[in-house]
Amino acid sequence: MNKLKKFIPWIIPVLLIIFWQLSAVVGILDTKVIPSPLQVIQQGIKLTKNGTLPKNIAVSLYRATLGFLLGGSIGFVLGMANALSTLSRNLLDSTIQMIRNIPHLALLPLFIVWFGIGEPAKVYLVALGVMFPIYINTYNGIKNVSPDLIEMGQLYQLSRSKMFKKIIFPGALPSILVGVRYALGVMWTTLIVAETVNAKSGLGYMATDAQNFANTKTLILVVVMYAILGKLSDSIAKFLEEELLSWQVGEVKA
Amino acid sequence: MSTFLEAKNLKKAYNGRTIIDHVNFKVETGSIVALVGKSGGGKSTLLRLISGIEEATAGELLKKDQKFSGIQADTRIMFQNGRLLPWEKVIDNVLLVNDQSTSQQAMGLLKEVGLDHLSESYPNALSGGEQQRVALARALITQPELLLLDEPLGALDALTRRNMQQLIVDLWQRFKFTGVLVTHDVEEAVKVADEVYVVNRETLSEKFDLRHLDRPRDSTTPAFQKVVKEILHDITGD
Repeated sequence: MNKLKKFIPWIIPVLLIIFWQLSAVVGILDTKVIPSPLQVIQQGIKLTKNGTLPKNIAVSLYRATLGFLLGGSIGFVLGMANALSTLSRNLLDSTIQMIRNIPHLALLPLFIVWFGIGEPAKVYLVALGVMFPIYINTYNGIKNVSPDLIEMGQLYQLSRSKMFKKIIFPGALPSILVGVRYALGVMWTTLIVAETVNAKSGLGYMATDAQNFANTKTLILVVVMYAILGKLSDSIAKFLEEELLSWQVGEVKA
Repeated sequence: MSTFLEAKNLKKAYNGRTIIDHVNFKVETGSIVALVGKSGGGKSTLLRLISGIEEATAGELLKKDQKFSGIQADTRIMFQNGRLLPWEKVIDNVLLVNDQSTSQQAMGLLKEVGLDHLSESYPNALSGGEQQRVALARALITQPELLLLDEPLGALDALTRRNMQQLIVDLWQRFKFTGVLVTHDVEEAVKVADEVYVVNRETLSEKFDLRHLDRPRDSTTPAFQKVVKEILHDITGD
């Protein structure tokens, strides 16, 4: 039964691919418009062998990671500061909320003017997009730490650093990780848009380039890569949640 | 016997609403005093004042004849909810309080409360009674002089309550702390305490000395039941 349960999520994707392949073989689909799965895989192998695919994946991953780390740290620090200090909150929160309500993708043209078509424009845009979900979830996480536990910490006269390390941060962590997971989604969306509009490398560039040559095999290959990378980063976030929040299910760990 | 804790004309009001007033009592060193009474009568407020987490509106608190206010390092408090850190293992919860305690000491205390086999578990995996045992161990690791118990067994089932009452008495006899127990359960107060104060209409109405009841106390004896009846009578006022 358990083995069967593991298999269930794969039923629809596998059936879809089989149906897709069969339609292409039988001739229902025009493979010029929609290539068959086999053709996409062959294209993938070809582009991997000549190095195009790995190079562009590496470039995209680099931008995504850098932007995520930059925006994530800024969001985390601001979230902490505003949750813990009234002065900081009064000073910064309304400004942050104003900026948050601008769709960050709308700033792409401005970023291109400011930072050119090099790396910084893309990395900064990703950072801007990633910052807010992390900010809000860090802020809310800290604000929602159980007042009972904070009072307990006061009664036991914990030092400020111990209070933060033992009570506030772990208490906020579940919410912060929700922010991380959401931010990873924003990260990919932002990067794809940035690379599609303005790039000389990366997966988004590969797609734009393929579009110019009506190369549907590469186009679909890029879409599949997005799906795989998105799923991969979500799995990493999920893994982190399971590792860091194992206490939630009351597991006894050796 | 010397007086460990004394309240003189203690008053607490929130936004002009008086919770307790004219509260006077003494707790002898090494004794357990129970505060009983209807809920909302100000028992827990009184305990919060003693703990130092809240300040009295008027009156004063003395410890060994010295006036004090604020949170005291020699005082520990235990609540109805254990307030354990769910993300720390049982042993680390016990060790939270001070860095000087060794894990050996913590294990020793967990053994006292009968939980050494669960030291590596997370609190979520423990029953309510077990969690309160951990909270007791955590409170006792710094060897406090004063232990405040705010309905510590209020959320437990009857059988677990009885075992825990006995455990509290055992630990008290072994660690020799002074205790203040707040409870709505009169039998519990009579089982555990040397003296019982009834908190009625904002103040302490009467004191019952229970030292004549031998320990361990058997709740089925006539002497025990007689005291319970007297206290209940004082609470309900009929």
